[in-house]
Amino acid sequence: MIAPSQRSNALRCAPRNAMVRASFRSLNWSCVVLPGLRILIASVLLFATSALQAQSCTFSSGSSGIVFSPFDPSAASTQTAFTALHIKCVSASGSPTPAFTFTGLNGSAPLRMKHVVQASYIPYTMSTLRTSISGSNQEWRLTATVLGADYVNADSGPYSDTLTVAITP
Amino acid sequence: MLCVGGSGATETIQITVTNTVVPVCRFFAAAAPSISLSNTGAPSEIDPRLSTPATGIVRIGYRCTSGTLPAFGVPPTATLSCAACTGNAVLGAALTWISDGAGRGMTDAGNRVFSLTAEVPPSAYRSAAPGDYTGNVTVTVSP
Repeated sequence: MIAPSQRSNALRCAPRNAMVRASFRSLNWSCVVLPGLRILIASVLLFATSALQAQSCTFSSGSSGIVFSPFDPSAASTQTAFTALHIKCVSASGSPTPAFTFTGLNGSAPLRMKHVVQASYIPYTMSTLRTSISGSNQEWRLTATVLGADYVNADSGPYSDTLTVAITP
Repeated sequence: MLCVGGSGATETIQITVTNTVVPVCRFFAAAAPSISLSNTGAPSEIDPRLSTPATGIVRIGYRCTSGTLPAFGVPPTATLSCAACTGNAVLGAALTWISDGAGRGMTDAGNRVFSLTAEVPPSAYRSAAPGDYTGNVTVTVSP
């Protein structure tokens, strides 16, 4: 038998599409336990929120993109191009250093730019350097590097990649 | 818990990374290439008594960016002259050429061959003064 208070919980928590009466008992059991779980989850969320407030980094400006100078395969050599990113990082103990991860639309290991027409790719690597810090504001230089050997036999034409930059915290 | 922390602590931004590989072609010749004209089989020998054209060919290596079709600049004729000769000391040679076509990159594996042929017809050399004839021709490849 379901106690009135339990029945109330069960009705409130049951899914809208719960059509099978036979499963009602197990739903009822779940909802008896749920209030306790909610308290536990709420505690975890509060804890996580307070941790985030203590240390966080956000992008404070976008990027105009990374554009390489044209590659001449007849004089292939290492090529670099960069962009600047402004990041705001706060924590109780100053401005933390964010950790960067890079994910490419055309692959991440390695990152690759794809030819606009052909199924040909030019791999590249990313590196980061903090160029300034003022209070919680940081400026970072993100540099993309392509080795000469990686485009000496490349098809002519434009290449591109969409790079997702993630910072933590 | 990891999911909650991760979604709240990670910020992302998207950046476009672009470049352009330019189409380019280059000759690769270890030394200045030359053509030896002959109608006898012996190098640089033209026998005016024969009626076969004097011909010669030179093969020059080139490389292009992968997929790039080279454009060769070759004059239709070349003029050979004999500095030590008296009389008719000029020979006109017709120039023709063929190539391996589009490039396959700039490494050794991408080597291609441009072949330039010169031909002096009998009507040109029959009346020429005997001697050593030389001439220069400029051939270009682009882009």
